[in-house]
Amino acid sequence: MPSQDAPSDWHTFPAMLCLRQLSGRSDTLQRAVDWTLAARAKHWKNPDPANLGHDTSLEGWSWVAGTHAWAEPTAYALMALEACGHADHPRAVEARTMLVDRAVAGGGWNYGNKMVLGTNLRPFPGTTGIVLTALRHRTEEPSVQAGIRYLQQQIRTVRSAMSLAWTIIALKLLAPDTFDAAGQTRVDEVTDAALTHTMNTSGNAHHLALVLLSTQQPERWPFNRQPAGANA
Amino acid sequence: MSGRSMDRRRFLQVSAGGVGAAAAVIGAKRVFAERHRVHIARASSYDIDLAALLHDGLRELGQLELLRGKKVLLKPNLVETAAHHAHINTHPAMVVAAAQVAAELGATEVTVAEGPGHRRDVELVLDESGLGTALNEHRLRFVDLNHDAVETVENRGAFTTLKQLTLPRTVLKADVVISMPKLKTHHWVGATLAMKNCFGIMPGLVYGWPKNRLHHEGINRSILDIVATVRPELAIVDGILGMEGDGPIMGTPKPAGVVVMGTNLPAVDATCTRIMQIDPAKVIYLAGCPSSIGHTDPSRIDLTGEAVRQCAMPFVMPPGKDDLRATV
Repeated sequence: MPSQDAPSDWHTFPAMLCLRQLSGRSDTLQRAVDWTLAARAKHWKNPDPANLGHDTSLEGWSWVAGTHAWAEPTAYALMALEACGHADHPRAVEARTMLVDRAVAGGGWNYGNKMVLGTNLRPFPGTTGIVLTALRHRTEEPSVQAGIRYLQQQIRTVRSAMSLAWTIIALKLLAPDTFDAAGQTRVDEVTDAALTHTMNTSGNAHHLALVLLSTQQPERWPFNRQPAGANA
Repeated sequence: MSGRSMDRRRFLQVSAGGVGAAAAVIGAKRVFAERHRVHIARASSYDIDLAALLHDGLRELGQLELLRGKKVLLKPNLVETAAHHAHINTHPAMVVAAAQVAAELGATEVTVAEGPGHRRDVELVLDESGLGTALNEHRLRFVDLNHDAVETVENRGAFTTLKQLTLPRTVLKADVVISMPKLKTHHWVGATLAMKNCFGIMPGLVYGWPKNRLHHEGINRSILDIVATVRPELAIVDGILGMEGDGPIMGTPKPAGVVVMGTNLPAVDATCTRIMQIDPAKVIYLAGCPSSIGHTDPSRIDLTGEAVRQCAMPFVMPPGKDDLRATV
């Protein structure tokens, strides 16, 4: 486990998705799976549900070991475990419950809180897309359906590469009907614009990769759940 | 060699002995100054000549040479936004004006940089806040501090348990860091100003969102560690349109009509709290601020421009924070 001064460790989860896609079974991937299942987030019995709004006893995964769990690292960890054949592990099951619990009122996900001091927080398209991708097998959940509706509104206006990419990925998986001819034309236009914008400004390779990934067919994505025993 | 003649990374290496050694390196005059000058300017809107206002402020502070020949980093406050919510983030006009003044006063390089605590997608915040458009129009470079290359340096504050802090390379390479916060209340610490704004320097890639590792260490202690380690050279507070109530995001607009500037962040922040009619002695990070970082006592602060009493107005406090009010 990292020391108190160590850098954060959530990067392990997306790295696992890459390793699983690129090399399949490996000792490195097995160590990452073991580490993920052993990594603990701070969780406790909720002292003031009206103030925090979410169930703090659900563990999930944190950005930095030993701190409270948040939506994005939990979603990444869940997708990584599913891709490595651990979809039914108790921590994966709890992570889905935790993500559903953290949805904000009205649909979508903030960075992990639902409210602060009794005030409801706004959803973010990027976080919502990542969480919905992780919850793609829970479409019966009202919060998942509300999240889909939120993204279907956002896709008309979002222009940044990262948020747009996760919006497209989630909707392709959970609401492919969104992409009729007119919708696909709009997506093609904004995807091109986002790629150009990112290349002309930050040049952020992560954002470019996400946009390119979103243009692929879902069958080629690294999020697909693998049967038990298919991991490293 | 003065602290300003070497870049921040070199300075932190040289001053590895902590605050005491740091004072020896950069000169006792700066860190342990007996008095700090703070300038308060009236500004009715963002449509006035803000560059002239900032230039005048630097002259009043005796800092017209501060930026000459330096690589300058402007650190605005970008948290999250919604359309037409101009009271949340540092206004784009303030950032552009600061960049113009820096260039006029001889800065060799001006970079705008921020690592939002609530959003990993900084491109979205730039887009929604209008800052992205302003930066493009004025061809200003922006760096996402959440995802920048990083280096680890000694924590020169030692208020938290962290022995080291990991900082963006862009910040370490800057000669002058200018903290440009919004004048806002804050539901955890009372007020978010030039010192709290430095939270956005810390890379989310390392500390998580919303800088989660530092929240666990304690926000007040973390603020002091960051300021003691990074040592911003200047603060410019956008109080033209501030925020009151449930800040730093969900509060309501508060037209305060001021810009507050100074080279010592605690002195600037203490002055801002007095304008907001908040008692700085009740704001934990200001009350606990050691003299090695700066002074908050008004007897140690020389004001230029407007008087505090002429600008002061009561800000609605966040829920549960009414005890921070100053006795007027």
